[in-house]
Formats: sequence, C-alpha cells, structure tokens
Amino acid sequence: MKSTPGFYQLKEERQKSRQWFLPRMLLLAILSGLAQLYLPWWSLILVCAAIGYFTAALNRSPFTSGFIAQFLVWSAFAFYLDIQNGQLLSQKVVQLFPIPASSLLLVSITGVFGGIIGGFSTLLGHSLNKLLVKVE
Amino acid sequence: MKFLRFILSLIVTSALFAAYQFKLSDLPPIGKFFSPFVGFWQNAEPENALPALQFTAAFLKDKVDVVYDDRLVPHIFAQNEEDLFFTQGYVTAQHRLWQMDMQTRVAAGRLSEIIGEKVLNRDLEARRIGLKLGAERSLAFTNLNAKTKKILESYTAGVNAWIQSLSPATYPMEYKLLDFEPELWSPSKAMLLLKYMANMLTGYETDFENTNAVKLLSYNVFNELFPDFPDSLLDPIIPVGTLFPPRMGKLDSVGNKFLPQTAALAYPFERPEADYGSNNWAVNGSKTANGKPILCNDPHLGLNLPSIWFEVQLNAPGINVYGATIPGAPCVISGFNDSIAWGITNAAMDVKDWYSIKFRDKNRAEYEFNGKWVSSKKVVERFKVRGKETVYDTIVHTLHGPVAYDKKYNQGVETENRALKWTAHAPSNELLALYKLNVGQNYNDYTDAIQHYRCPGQNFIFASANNDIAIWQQGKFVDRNIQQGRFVQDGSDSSTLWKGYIPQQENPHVLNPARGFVSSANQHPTDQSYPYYYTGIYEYFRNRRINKRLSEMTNIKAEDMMKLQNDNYNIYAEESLPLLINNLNTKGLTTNQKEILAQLTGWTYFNDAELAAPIYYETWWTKFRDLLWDEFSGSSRLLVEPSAFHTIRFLKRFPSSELIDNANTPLTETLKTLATQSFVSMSAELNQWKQKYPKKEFTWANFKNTTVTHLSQQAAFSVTGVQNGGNSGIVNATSSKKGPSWRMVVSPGSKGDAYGIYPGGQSGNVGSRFYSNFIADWAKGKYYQLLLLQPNEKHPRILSTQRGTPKK
Repeated sequence: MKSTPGFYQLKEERQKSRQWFLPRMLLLAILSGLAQLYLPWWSLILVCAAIGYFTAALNRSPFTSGFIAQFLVWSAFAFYLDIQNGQLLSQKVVQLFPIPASSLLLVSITGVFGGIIGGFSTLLGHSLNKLLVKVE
Repeated sequence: MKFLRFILSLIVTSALFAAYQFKLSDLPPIGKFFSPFVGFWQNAEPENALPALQFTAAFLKDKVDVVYDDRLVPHIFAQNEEDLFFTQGYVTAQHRLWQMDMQTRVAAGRLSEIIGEKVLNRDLEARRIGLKLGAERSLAFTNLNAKTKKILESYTAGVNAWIQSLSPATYPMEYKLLDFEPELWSPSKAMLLLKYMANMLTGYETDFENTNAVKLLSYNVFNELFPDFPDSLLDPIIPVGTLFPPRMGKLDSVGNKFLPQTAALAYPFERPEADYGSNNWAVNGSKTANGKPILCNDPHLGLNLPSIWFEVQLNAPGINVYGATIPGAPCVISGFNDSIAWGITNAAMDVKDWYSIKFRDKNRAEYEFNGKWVSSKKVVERFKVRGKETVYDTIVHTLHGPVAYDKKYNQGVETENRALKWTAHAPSNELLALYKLNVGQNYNDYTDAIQHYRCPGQNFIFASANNDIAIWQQGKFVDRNIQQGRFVQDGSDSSTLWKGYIPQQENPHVLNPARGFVSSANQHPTDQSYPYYYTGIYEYFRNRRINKRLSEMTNIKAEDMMKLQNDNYNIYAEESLPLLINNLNTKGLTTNQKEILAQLTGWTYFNDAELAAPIYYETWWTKFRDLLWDEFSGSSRLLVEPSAFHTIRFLKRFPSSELIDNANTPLTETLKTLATQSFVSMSAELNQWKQKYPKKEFTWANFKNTTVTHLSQQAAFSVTGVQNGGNSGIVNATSSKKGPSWRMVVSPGSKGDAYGIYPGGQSGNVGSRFYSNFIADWAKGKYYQLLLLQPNEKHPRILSTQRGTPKK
C-alpha cells in the first residue's frame, strides 16, 4: 500500500500545529494581558484577532488557544486580587448571581467570560486570514 | 465555507463585544464588570490596604496631614481652614463618593438618568415637591456669606480633586454595577444633600389624611383620636412650669377657614416614614460621678450602608472638632470640641402645608385669589431617562408654592390641584450654623450659631466644659392660627396664608433647668402655656422613659449613659398589654395559647433581643389595632390610623365607644371580642413563622430581623439578622429598617471621655474590611473611644498618615 502525499502533508501539519499550540497560547496571553494593563478591556479583541491572523498558518485550533489564553489571564488576575482581598468582595458579589456562593466559582466564571471573547477574537483573525490568504 | 466561517465569527465577536461593553438589561456589561483589569475585581483592595501615603493638589496652600486611626477615622490637620475643608471633601469622597452621588441624585430628581424609567416617578416627585428649588435658593443665600461660600468652594474643590484622580478601573464598584460615571461635584450638590435631609425630617405630614378623617368621623371624633395636646403624660422638652414671655399680637382662634374645606384624595407621593426620631440629653455636673456634664445623642434614621454618617476630626488654627458628618456636606453635624458638645433630634413641628388651588381654566395660567385671577408661573422640568426619550414635566407655581399635586396623580381630573407651602423651599444657611457650632466655645457661641439654622428644625442639645447645659428647639417655625396647617387649606383666600414666623428668640428653649438635665425625643416642645400654636406628629413614649431614668439617676458615668441609649423598656407595652390581657376571653384557649399568655403575663416589658414575649406582644398589639381601626383600613380614601399612644388613651376614656364595633359585621364587637380575636390570629401567625423558619430561634431579634440595607437595595451588600432588641417608640429605637444611626456619649472638657459608634463602617467599599465592621459591636451596645488628637500627637491607635502637599 502506498500512502497518498496528502496524508503525509496532513500529518506534518498536525505535528506543526501541536508544536505551535503552546507558544501561540503564551503569546496570546502575554500580549493581550499587557494590552489590557494600559488600554481598555476590549484591546484584547484586537490583540487576539491580530495574533490569530498572523499565526493562522501555524496552528489549526485558534478558538481553543484563544479561549485558554484569555481564561488564564482573567482568572489568574482575578484569583490574585481575590486572595489579596481575603475574598471579602467576591463573597458579596457572588450573591448577585443565582449561583453557589463560592469565590472560586466567581473566579472561574470570570475566566470563562474572558475565554469566550478571547476564543472568538482569535478565531476571527484566523478565519480572516484563511479567507484572504491563498494557500500555495 | 471559509467565507461563512469568517462571517459567523465576525457576528459572534461583535455580539460579544456589545454584551461586554454595553448595559443591555438589568445586568451590568459583562466585560466592563468582570474584567479583572477594570471591573469589580479592581475594587477588591488588599485586605490590609490603607489610603495612599501621599497626594498633591494645586488647591493646597500648605501641607495637610490626614491621620487615620484604627477604625479608619480621618483626623485632618491643616494649617488653614481652606486646606482643611478641601481635605474634608477629598477624604470623604475617597471613601464615600458613590453614596454622595446617589443621595444628591435622589434629591435633584436625577435618578432615572442612571437607573432608567422605573424610577422616573420618584424623580418627578422630588422635582415637584421642590427640593431642587429649595437647594438653588439656599445656595444663593449661602454664597452671600463670605465664610460659608469659601467653605463650600474648598470642600467642592477637594471632592473634585479626588474624582479627577480616578479612572474607570478605580471607580467605586457600584458605578460599574450600574454602568455610569461620576460627574464633578458642585456647591449646589451640598445644598441638595441638606434638602434631602430636610425632606427626610420634615417631609412627613398628614394633611390629606386628616382632611379625609374629619369627613369620615366628624371634627369632634377626629380631635379625640388626633388631639393637638393630650391632656396628660406630655412630658415636653421644656419642663412644665417654665414661663414663656407673652407673644406679640394675639393668637388667632380657630376659624372655619382652617377646617377642612375640600376633600383630599389619595396621597400620591412616596413620603419619608413617620418614625424617623432621635434622642438627645445632657446632664450637668451635679448628676455625674466626676462633676463634669455628659451629653448624649442618637439620631434614628434609616439603617443603610454606606452609613449616612462619616466620622472625622477637623483641626486647623481656630478649629478642632470631632463628630459625625454627612458625606457631601462640610463641617460636623453632631459632635464636640475641646469646650462644648452638641447633638440633634428632629423638632417634628409641622412646616409643610397644602393649599387647594382653583384655576380659571384647563390652561392653568391663572388661579383665583381674593376674588381675582392671578397669573401663575410655569416651569418646564426636564428628565433624562436612561435608554428612553427625555421626559418633560410642567410644574405650575403659585404664590403658595409649586402645584405638586394635580391631574397627573388624579386620573386626569382637572379640578383637584394642591400647592405645597414648605419651609424647605425657603433660602437658608444651615452651613453657617454648623460652622459656628464647630468652633463654638460656650453657651453664647452656641446660641449665636444655631440661630442660622432654619430647616429641618432640630432640638439642639448643648453642654459645655464650664457646666452649662441647654436645649433649643431651633428652626424657622410658622406662627400659626389655631388648627392652621392640619388640613388641606383653601388657597384662594389671603386669610389662610402663613401670617409670619415665631420670632427666633422665642423658639422653645431652656438653660440650666433646676432638674439638672435637658432632653428631647421628638415629643412636644412645650406644654400648652407656650403662646404660639403649633402642630406636628409627636413622640409620647421614649421621652417619658428617658426623663424618668434621668430623674432617678445620680453619680452618672459614661457607661450608665450607654446603657440608657440601649434601654429596651417598652412603655407602650406597659400601658396597653394589661388592657389586652384584661379583655382576653381565656375560655377555650389551647395549651399553646395558654403558654403564650403565661409568657406575656410574666413579661417585664423589656424588648430584649433574646426574648420571645416581645414577639407575642408586638404581633398581638398590631393585630388588635388593625381590628379596632377597621374604619381606617376599610376606606377607599387615604387615612392614617391613630397612633399607639392615642389609641391607648382613647380606649381608657371610651371603653365602649361605637368605633370599637366593626360596622361591616352583623355582630356587635366589644373590646373583649377584638382582644380575643387578635390573640387567636396572633398565635396562628406566629406558629406559621415557626414552621417557616424551623432553624431560627424564636427570639425578638430574629423575628424583627433588623437589616442594614445597601443604598442600591442589593441584599448581597446588606447586613441582615442584626441581633438587637428595642423597637420604634423605645429608647433603643431599633426597628427592622431604622434605628440609632449614630450613638454618641461625650463629657465636654474631660479629655478622652468621648464615645461613639454607628451601624456601618467608614469605608463605602463593599470589599473593604472597614465596610460594615461596626455593626456587630453596635448591636451589642458597645462603643468606641473617640479620639480628639493634637497635631503631631503619637497615639497607639494611629494606623497611618496620608500627607497632602501643594502641587508645584
């Protein structure tokens, strides 16, 4: 049996994608985190979309990497502030929502909210690249 | 396929952006609220955080030190008064900005700008009853005095310096929750706050209800149930027997024109509640252990977070004062300095009247007055409403005041128009009174200060280091004809106008009375020998308990006064429970009911937190009164039931009055029927309570469930189930939503002998350890020592110092 060239190509791409998953995620997390320190929160959309656009050839799971990156940025920062505060504020704010009164749950929800918009922003850049740039 | 993928991700990302950036429902915008970079997490200040160590401001002329003690009370040390009031504004805003903003919006009728249409009616009311109008007039008047103009401007500059130092990430959390931004402060906002207080303390009157009650019951029966002066048990502020100088001119007798002419309808406005009361008293050295006077004050207001009070010490050359301030207004309201102490309770004198207006036609351009048509003035008020079109409301002004009540509240009936005449509309300069009190040294300074205080009228209690004690009921009070102002009056006739005001020097007052103490608890200021007629809604219980205790007490120490402020003795129970029990038909009572009766019989009338008997009594008494006053609850017109005191008095005088019978039933009810019926329904209702809360102990504190409510009404930021006894009408006037909002016990002149507490905390930040940290101690009746520090004093309770310097 002779394998088709397409099969090898696919395998190679998968490997490349796996290799680049973590670096791209870190890039997303660091650059969007830095942007949000100085710019409005929505700067993350622009940063993630740009990274998604320029790394479209390297990795095939833009939503996942964008989601995880932003989940980490938002939840880790929130977690840090929460611990410093002795959870005084989160214990009260969590009661505004119909969820169990757990600070850690509020931290996770914060992460998920970050993740959702981070994921879609990265996907947006990625799909724009796929639309505009012709693959050789 | 690629195109579809792109379009879909574009649509989803855009939709997410919208939901994250804009407030689309009652929920806050997700991104702005949850982002740890700008949202509420930014308000999760480090647990042991203290205010920044430095600030600079172009306004400052010299350096200022803000010394925080361990309860986060700022002690401000400035080199001049302008820097002092600047810094008061700066630090108050630092801790309480959102609250200041909200309370002024309530008074200005600008709440719907941020909350939306659902609070529009409240805004319309605030504007119609003329709070903004009064604030504008008072600002112009306050600016006429160079001193108060300067104080207001300095304070405003301080608040604004703080606001300008903020960014969206550092806004108080509530701005993020409601999604709006702070706007710059102005002197007019401080005036609005004072009118907010004026409304809270003089806004309640029952002219509409009284008018209806006379129609329902006849004038004679009305006067039995709502007498101006009950024949006994008055215990007024000015001791009975004090001589008053004769009045100028004669007191006009009851004229028919002051009796109800026109029917009143439903009262449309949200009104402050009746039982905002307060206690204050002072004893001279003859009654104390150390020979120095002691002064006490506890104003009873709504229990809110952030608290209505904020403690500060203000120190600069010529001024060194400590006490409770209202965030948004300069100076100390209730407090003390090196030489004197003072406190306030509400005067409760009626200064708010309604006049019936007859317009010429639907145009409302002219109204009848003394047989002529007089031109009215129309003012269009504008209301921005969040997410909706701007709303305009035309308010017609007459010589009496704004026609607050008209067809808008009356299903379009054109003929029912009522204008409001109220001393809160008049210009006044309360700030001058407060400033002069803050720097006062003796009795003369005190009387010179308070004469400027006009509305809301207050009982200013006073004690000085040189052993003077005094009380003045101070305000701008109407010189009324007998019965004038109790009912809606005919506005088309000059004979119903206010003929003038009681001369300030003749306001009820007493200096160093023989009994060695002065006191007030919102009761009648005087007995009937006072040469001016007044009316109001007065207290008959707390005053008698306080005066009884103060007469008995000798060798008094500060702790004894703290006990008295927390006294739970229930006089209305003492006077009504025997009446209920004597009329109870004990035949056919169940075992459970017999047990309740046994508890009540053995009760010594203290509404203590851990007891069950107060629950049985209070519920029984409420149900009994509801049955008794069916005439009032069954009417389609707005009425108010006679008070507890007048009910007891009426039942003792007329135990078989036909009012006791419920006319809607075929039976003839007697006191026995009502007492028994209400007892049975009380026991049934309380059994339900026990079933509903099986885990809660059946105690008065749990049943009453005193709650300190966040101003946004969010339960998440409120404190419920505060373990405290008392009730409204008891010296410890803690009911479920109201109570002693600031307790102070001070011995002026004895250094260090000053104690206070309020049910809240100095910080307005929900996430601060200083947010509600006083509440548990307050409930236990504990006090903190209040520190009147000297400049550069090293005190073990100092936490940190914030240094303000002029910006180069």
